[in-house]
Amino acid sequence: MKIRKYITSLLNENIKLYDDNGVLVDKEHITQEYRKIKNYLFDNFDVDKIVGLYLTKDYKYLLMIFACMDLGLTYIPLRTKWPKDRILQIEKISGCITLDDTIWKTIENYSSSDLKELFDVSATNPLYIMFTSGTTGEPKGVIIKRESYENFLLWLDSYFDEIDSNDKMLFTTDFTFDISLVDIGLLLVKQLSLYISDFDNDIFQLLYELDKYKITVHSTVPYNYTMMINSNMLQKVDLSSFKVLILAGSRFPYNIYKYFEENLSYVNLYNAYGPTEGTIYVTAHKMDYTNDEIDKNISIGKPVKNCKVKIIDDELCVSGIQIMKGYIRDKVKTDEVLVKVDGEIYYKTGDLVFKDENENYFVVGRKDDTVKVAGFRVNLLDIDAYIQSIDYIKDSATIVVENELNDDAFLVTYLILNELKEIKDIRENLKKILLNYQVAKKIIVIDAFPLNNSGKVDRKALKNSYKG
Amino acid sequence: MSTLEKEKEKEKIKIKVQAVLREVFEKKDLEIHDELNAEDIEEWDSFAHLNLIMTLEQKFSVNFALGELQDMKNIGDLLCLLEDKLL
Repeated sequence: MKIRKYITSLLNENIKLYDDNGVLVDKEHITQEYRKIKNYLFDNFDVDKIVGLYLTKDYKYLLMIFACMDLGLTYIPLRTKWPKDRILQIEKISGCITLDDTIWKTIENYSSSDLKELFDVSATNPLYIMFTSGTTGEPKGVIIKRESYENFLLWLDSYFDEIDSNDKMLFTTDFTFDISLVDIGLLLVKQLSLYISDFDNDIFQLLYELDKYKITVHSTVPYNYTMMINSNMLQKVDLSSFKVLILAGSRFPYNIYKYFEENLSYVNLYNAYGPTEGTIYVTAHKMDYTNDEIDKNISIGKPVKNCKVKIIDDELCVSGIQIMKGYIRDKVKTDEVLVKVDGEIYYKTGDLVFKDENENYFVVGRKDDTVKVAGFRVNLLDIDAYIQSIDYIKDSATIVVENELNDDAFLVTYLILNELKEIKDIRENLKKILLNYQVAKKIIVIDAFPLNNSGKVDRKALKNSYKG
Repeated sequence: MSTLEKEKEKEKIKIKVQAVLREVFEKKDLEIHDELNAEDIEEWDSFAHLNLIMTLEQKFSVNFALGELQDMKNIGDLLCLLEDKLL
């Protein structure tokens, strides 16, 4: 089904949006608001103009996205917390026209008549452009086509067949992170109740909302569950109605699997995987609690519908309808990652993987996590995975610090501990499970890791804060 | 427990809470009072709060319910809660 049909059906039938106070937004109000937004956009934009959405996260932001999708306009999600410089940089690269919260006053005066006209767009037209912070600091704009998200919607609908219109989903992800399109997608295809959270990386807010609204479906990054589980807070939440948890965005920690297996095995737990360049997810895996041979490295599963994956030199490469059009106005970077293999375009994910005999894929590291230290090739994610198998270690993040003096590099491991330990004892334990050159020169114990916009451990920030 | 004993126990709880806050926020000279809340201490963000609650639960061997945590607006509320649980 096409996006336009989904949106029309949702707005005509049964849209259940709850604001950040948990109050159901009146359906008639949504209809009026939505029509005004559409009339405003139709009068002021055209298919060749890109809409930048620099708005506060609430249900109106979502209606704005629906209006863009429906009309055929390309949008760029932006975040009010982002510094103005970043917005200017994105405007410069994309040429987008940015709307901020002052636009609501203008829209208020527009007609709420039902606009029948839509822009004429093809399936390969860009639906949205998602900016990711590239490793060099220069933001890259990933262009996603309408047909890519339509394919994703079809997959969502069929893959999560246990989710229906009675479900209640907590929407915690920011619009600037593409897993927000899982929440939006499930709203479109399942017409479930969507609770727009004012989570904002506050774990307590998340705990209260999960409990208060008796949430049944949640999609987020693993880190939030690691925090709630390791702090013994998740057990305070009434999760008797909880049904589906989808985690994506970083490596799936084994302790989350263990916790759910022991305490919440009635919940369907998923590990989904995908780069922004592949339209949200390209593989997914449902946990099987009955399988006791589960490896500490949790599988990312199998490719989604109409996605083909190939391993080239240990690197996971993806092709198919969900692959991005390219990075906006950056042919050099686009050509670096989109390669032609046997007449088909593949996106090089940069993730190193292997496949087991059941065709399940496993990520073992990132190409750029493999660094040379004292002449040895080391993989930072591998090191952390081993370190995290020690009972008293709650979490770890290993980084490389360049030593400009002798043109070499050394490792620094940051640890969050479950109990107090002397550094020299930790070092002794690490030596027993790691190779000598994998044991960091510096081991630093901290209380919490800094997080980036996507809720992942911000290794760059750790590196910047390292003072030798 | 006599009123006097109770007051003594309350004082003990207060000193112990102060020690926990000093440790969590790494502020050796921190003096707590009833109105003290997250806005008064720069380091008191949601992660520090999580750490604080965890530490309090361990040190006092108590378990806070979600509703109790939600209603806790300042140190005064925290002390009342601990007194209710412990005395």
